Amino acid sequence: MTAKDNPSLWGFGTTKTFKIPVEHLDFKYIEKCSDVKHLEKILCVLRSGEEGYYPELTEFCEKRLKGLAPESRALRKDKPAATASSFTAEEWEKIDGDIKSWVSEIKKEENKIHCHETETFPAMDNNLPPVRGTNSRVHVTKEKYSNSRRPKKKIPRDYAEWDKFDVEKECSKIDEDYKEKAVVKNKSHLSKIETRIDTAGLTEKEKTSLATREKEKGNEAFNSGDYEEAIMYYTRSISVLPTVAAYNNRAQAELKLQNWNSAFWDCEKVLELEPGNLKALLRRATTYKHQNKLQEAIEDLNKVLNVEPDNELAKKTLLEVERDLKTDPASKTQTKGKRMVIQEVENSEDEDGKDRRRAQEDGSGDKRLSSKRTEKNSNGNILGTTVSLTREAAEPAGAGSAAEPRAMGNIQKKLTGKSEGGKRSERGASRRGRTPGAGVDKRGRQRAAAAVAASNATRHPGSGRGAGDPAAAAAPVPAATLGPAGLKSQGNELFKSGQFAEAALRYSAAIAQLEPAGSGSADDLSILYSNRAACYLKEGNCSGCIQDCNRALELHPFSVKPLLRRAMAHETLEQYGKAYVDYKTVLQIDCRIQLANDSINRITRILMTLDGPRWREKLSPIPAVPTSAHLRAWQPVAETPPSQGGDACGRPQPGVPDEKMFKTLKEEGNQCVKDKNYKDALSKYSECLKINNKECAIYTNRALCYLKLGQFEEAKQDCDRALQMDSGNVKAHYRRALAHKGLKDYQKSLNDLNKVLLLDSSIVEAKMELEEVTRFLNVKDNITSFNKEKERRKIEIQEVSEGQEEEPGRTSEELSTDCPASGKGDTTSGPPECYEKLPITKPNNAYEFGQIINAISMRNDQEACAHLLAITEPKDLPMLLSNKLEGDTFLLLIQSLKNNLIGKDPSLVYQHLLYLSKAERFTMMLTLISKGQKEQIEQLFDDLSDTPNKHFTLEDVRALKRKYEL
Amino acid sequence: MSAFEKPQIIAHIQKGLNYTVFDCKWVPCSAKFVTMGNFARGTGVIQLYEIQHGDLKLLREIEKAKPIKCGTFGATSLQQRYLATGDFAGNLHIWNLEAPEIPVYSVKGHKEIINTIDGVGGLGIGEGAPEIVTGSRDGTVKVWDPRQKDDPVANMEPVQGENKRDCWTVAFGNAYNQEERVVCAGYDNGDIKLFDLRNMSLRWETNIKNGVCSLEFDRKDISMNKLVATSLEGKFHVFDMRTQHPTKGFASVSEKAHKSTVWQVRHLPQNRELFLTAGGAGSLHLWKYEYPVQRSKKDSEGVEMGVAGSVSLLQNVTLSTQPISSLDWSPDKRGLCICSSFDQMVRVLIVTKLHKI
Repeated sequence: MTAKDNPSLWGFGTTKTFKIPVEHLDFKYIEKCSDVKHLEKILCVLRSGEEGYYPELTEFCEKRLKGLAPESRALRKDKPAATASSFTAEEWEKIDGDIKSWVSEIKKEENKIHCHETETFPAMDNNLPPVRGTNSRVHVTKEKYSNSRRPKKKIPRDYAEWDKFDVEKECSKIDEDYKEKAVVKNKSHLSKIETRIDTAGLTEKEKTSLATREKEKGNEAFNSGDYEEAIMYYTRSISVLPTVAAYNNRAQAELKLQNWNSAFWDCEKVLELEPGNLKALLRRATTYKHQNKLQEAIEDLNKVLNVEPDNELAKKTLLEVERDLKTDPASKTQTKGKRMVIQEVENSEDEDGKDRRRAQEDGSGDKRLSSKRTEKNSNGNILGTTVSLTREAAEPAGAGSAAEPRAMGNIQKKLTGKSEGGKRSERGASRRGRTPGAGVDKRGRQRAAAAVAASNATRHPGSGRGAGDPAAAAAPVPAATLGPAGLKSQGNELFKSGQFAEAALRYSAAIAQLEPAGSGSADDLSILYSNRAACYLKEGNCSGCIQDCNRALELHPFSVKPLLRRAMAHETLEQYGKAYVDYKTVLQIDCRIQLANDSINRITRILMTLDGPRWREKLSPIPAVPTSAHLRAWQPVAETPPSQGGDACGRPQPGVPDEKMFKTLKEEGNQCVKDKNYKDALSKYSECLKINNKECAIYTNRALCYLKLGQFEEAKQDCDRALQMDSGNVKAHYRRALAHKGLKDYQKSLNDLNKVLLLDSSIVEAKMELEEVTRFLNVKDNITSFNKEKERRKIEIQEVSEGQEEEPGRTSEELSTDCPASGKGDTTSGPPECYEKLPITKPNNAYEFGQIINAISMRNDQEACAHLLAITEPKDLPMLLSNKLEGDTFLLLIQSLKNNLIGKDPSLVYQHLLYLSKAERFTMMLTLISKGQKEQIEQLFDDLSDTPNKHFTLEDVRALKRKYEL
Repeated sequence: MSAFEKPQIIAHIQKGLNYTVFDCKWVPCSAKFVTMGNFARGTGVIQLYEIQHGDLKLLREIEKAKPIKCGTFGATSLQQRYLATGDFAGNLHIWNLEAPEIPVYSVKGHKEIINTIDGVGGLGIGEGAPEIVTGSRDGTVKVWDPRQKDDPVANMEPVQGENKRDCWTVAFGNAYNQEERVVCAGYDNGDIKLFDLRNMSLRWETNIKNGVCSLEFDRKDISMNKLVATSLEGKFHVFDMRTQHPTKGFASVSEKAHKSTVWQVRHLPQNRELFLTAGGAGSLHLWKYEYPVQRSKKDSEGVEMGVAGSVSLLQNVTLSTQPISSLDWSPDKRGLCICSSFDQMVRVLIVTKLHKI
């Protein structure tokens, strides 16, 4: 062969398929080449044999590629199926034996089913849902177009439509759409999964396979990270057939979601069914660890390690628990679930008898231990003051394992006893020598609290007597000999060194000294409370912490630290809603607080899972923060003038009690408003007015309460009084306008609103109200509902200018939403309300009708729907509905006919029903509606036949009923 | 994963048949399976086999007038175990295999061959009514309830005058409660359409460019999680069905699996992340789907959209030179599988080590 015959030998040729230079087909090149794609091509060329057959080079290339990219597609080779000879005799024996035993087993099962066949069959049939509606058609292509047409419709086609086109409305509608869709997609299916399975008429075999299947579904969901879904399926599995594995796996999923308590109960259940189950013990240990029952956790872990001394996870957890126990015996449940690793979800039970026996031995050992502990604890005095969350969990344990829960209870008492140490100084004293700086949290657990400790340290540089010398601070000094400032600085030192109980004690003493001093020391008191709250938080006394924070905030509204601490306490107590509100408030004051930001994110997620997509609605309003608070946030020095406290207590202040009383009452009132407890707020404000009836704000605040309670007359009077004192009070004007509106005196309302806008043209709520009131006065208005949604969002910006006045917890958001509601509570239902909620005009075409119906069904506002029906000609209904009649629309129409219209105008109801049955998709609708919905329709017809009318006869109703297939 | 840890696909039992076999299905809760096909003389055949002592024993052979294309046990109870079949003439029959002379249910459902069939609501799989869906060359997809004679309970068809596409595959899904249920249909032009049976509407559609040979949800009885679609040109697509973006639809990942048509995809009944694809050149590929860290993300406008994961090949074997036409996992025994191929063979396969993945 010459070089001429084979161009590749020239050294500059390229391959035919990929145009790779021929030099690349070379050991050296391939060895160096790291381009996977290129190597794949080379391999392809080599394998094809078009450049010649080089088995070694091909193999070498494969090896190289395998080293670089083991997953490469080029390496996939056709392989024959494995046969018995591909395995060792032993392996094959196993595989073959497995199949054989399964075959014989399944045959037995099959025979069993066969016997059951005749008896159980009918029961099955009864449980089945009805047959789907007859021959419903989905036209493939038609649907396609109608789908793509919908978004197009938003663009107006002629000038008239441009006039009607409301950009904001469309925008907000898009927002709504997205919101709704997103919601539908993510978790909605969870709520729709039945948690129980009807097992009537199933054979044992069927039940087992069903339970196994549900469990497998759970495992799969678990593995893909959908823990809630996994729990659902495990629950279903348990509802069919309670098994150890399902309980155990559910416990694992609950651990993932940090539902310590439920996880605990599932572990208990497993251990009840199968004492000594290692996984359950491990998982229970984890729940103990997170509920701060460290002793129990250690016991469980030791049990595991006794059986399986090499269990890495148990060892690791044990180490962690022991460290926890050392560093901070009294610390509480700040969760940190990330660390958990009991990962595997089991498929079957693999515990053998030996393990079980050993575990039982352990159990008896455990009992001995616990009884010892009981003795040890019996002489310790038990304070009945705090009942911690974990204690609750431990108390109601099953009778079967009575010894253990009792031990738990004791341990708990011991722990709480320790944390209560602040109230018993002699006990506290014994622990005083402990490691300094233990409280500065190394594990980053209670980051915030640590930060607080640190900042406390910096804020009181050498303020108190004891501050310079930690030893002096630690020495027991009789509290009475020190002034409040000294006590406080001692407390700070103690806090820094991690002796929270003692610190709390000092703060309490300081508070006790300052308390009678009156309002002059409000600042100091507030700080003391706030500091004591930090101690309580550290100790895990969350309710105490919240109380103190409340007090601190009463004295000093909108200070960051108590808010943060209260938020943390709420979070620990799993009152996420309240925690959320507090964090939000903090962020309003200072948006740079990272802790609050992080926590908000975390809590939002929790709330969403707890309350579903509408979680926001369940929150109490987030108080608007006055600008003064923002300023204060930048001047932390002003917060703590440490020397001031001592002077303040001695200063005589004439008239202080009254003034203080007034102030506290007012603040209490404000607090009540914040909590939406308007009745209490009302009484507080009234008390205030008894003390001092010259304060304009009290009147306006009380007016607000009256408004909320729907007592418009009183509200109006209060506003009048406020205006007598201060004729330019915007709030009074605004509220009087609302009161007038509530009293349906729209003209006066209009006047007031105009005044408001005259005084301050930037108040959006007023504009809105004005718009609304004008609408009442002038019914014909074309603006549709979505405005409100949009505007509500805008208002938040308004807050700051609004918040100047000292007004509690009243966001402008509330203004826009609550007022119509209060109006509704007062007046009887009728058309005007519909206007209030949703301006409805007579629809002229299907599009308009669809828009309105969409808006209504979004709010599920039956009244509005009834109104819509009232102004719509029945005979137009089929035209208006066109082919858009859907399940929820249909149901809404029926409901509003049933609940709102039947009493007023039965003949109209009849007409509507008649024409509804002529709508395009009506028959299909009927087939799709559920039983419950059918019942509703039936009721409607019953009502209709009960109210005879000259416009229709009973016969008509019956005929119509037949049309509705009832 | 070392070579020994990998699942191995073992051809346990092979048996040559004297007819063209189109479909094979395990009889639930047994060591039996049925094969369906076409005798050379143009008649249809259903055979019932049982595994006995490492071999296949023919228990019953039923000959019918028309070649049988597809069958399912999906809509029957465990106690009855009736087989629903679709044949070349467009008939849907439900057979009691104990007494196969007369069908339990019979309807002339389509004008042309029924290519594909699926059932739900039976065998404890899927909440709600037992239903059968058939897809045909006449372009329609019809849903049947065995309790209703003659008429389908739902009919998905192109409007008058539209081109009728050959429907090659149908699959039920989303049957996690009594109301919800979807049917997914794949057509010869690469269209995939997802019909929502609750709302009787087309929920989503897409086109994967090449004819859709097989579709399957990873589970019928959970809220739609994943959908695998295989295509004529050797690719398959895995759609994450949890998050639907208003415009982009569902996120998907595609993989070139075989050198020719991927005829079938079947998920392991015991683990939804594993599935087997059967290729045109007689090859089988076992795949594992891995989820991304986050299954959904927000797009630039804050709308949630799905994120597709990745697939990895666990094992592949070549069984035959002819296409593998059908594939079925045993619902009762993990790793047991049957497949039929156009070389007139039916094979019982064992896939090992599936529980370790």
